[in-house]
Amino acid sequence: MNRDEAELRFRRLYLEHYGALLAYALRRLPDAAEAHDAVADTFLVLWRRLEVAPGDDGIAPWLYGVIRRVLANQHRASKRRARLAERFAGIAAEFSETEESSERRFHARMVLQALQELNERDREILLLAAWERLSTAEIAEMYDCSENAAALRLHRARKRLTALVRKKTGQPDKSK
Amino acid sequence: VSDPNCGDVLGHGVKSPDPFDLLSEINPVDLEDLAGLVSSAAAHDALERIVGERPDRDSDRSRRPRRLRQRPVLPRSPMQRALIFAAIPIAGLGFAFAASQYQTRSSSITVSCYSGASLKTPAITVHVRAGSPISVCGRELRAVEGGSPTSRPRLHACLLPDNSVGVVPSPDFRICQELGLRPLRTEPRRG
Repeated sequence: MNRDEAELRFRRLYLEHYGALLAYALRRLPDAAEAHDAVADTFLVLWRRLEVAPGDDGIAPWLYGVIRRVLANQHRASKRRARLAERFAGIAAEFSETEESSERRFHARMVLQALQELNERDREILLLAAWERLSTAEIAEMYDCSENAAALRLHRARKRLTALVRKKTGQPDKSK
Repeated sequence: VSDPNCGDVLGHGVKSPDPFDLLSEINPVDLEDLAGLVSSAAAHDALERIVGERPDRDSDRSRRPRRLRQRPVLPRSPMQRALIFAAIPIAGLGFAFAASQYQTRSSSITVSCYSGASLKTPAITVHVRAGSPISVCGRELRAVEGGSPTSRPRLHACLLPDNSVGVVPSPDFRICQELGLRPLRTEPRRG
């Protein structure tokens, strides 16, 4: 691929994936400017590694893998947790403004709190499936594992989330 | 606490939603809200900054030891030097012409805005630098056909075989696949 072709492909991928990557960053960061920076850093990695990046069919999971690492490198783990808590508190508040049912508002708050208590791996796979709407095949590609392994990992993460929410809401844990 | 027909029920008679399903509904960022952001000045500037950077292999070359890159540039003969100095402005003009050609070809992508849900319908061709193909075609089609944005079926961006983008109006969200094309993910995915 010569530089002309590479630039055309890059511009097309930028148009195609900019929104999804920005949404990914905005869902996890409390600061919009930082989210834009994270997306720009992700595309910079793509530009530099365009020749070794996967074809169009596999590029979305690859880009999610890059932006996940970009965010992970931005802050130390302890600061990341604090920033995630800040973002989730904002999300709970936004949800409360639009949701009429007080029970659902209560449950949403419990789900977001439980998410923060999960380990990073479980939390990320749940968010990829629930918010980024990635299929298990795409998650498998992102984590470089088999589709079965990704499906199992997602299933276990869902069970752990459910157990934590049940504990918080005082319901018996049926998984035991 | 548990009802086999209606799922889990809390003590006060409220159905308890599945946490994962509720999480999917909480989704705080709707892609539709971000559709215009790819056309924003910040997104455009970031794109131009990135493509303005030389690829890594070039920077690797610049990291070579200085000693290897220092070679005599000009020949010793005065005649040869005169020829080289005469060639510089000619080469400069040639380079400027080539750069202008390169700029028009490479700094935009070609988008065909079709007036109907088929690649055989009349189309307007536009060159997009960093805007969303759907919003650009929406503007172009409105300018040509008139009418309000709500009176036209939803626009869908598909990847054409020549690597350019085609935008077609259709109420069917699978229109790209039906035309034998790959959809561009400029729209939010549906569950």
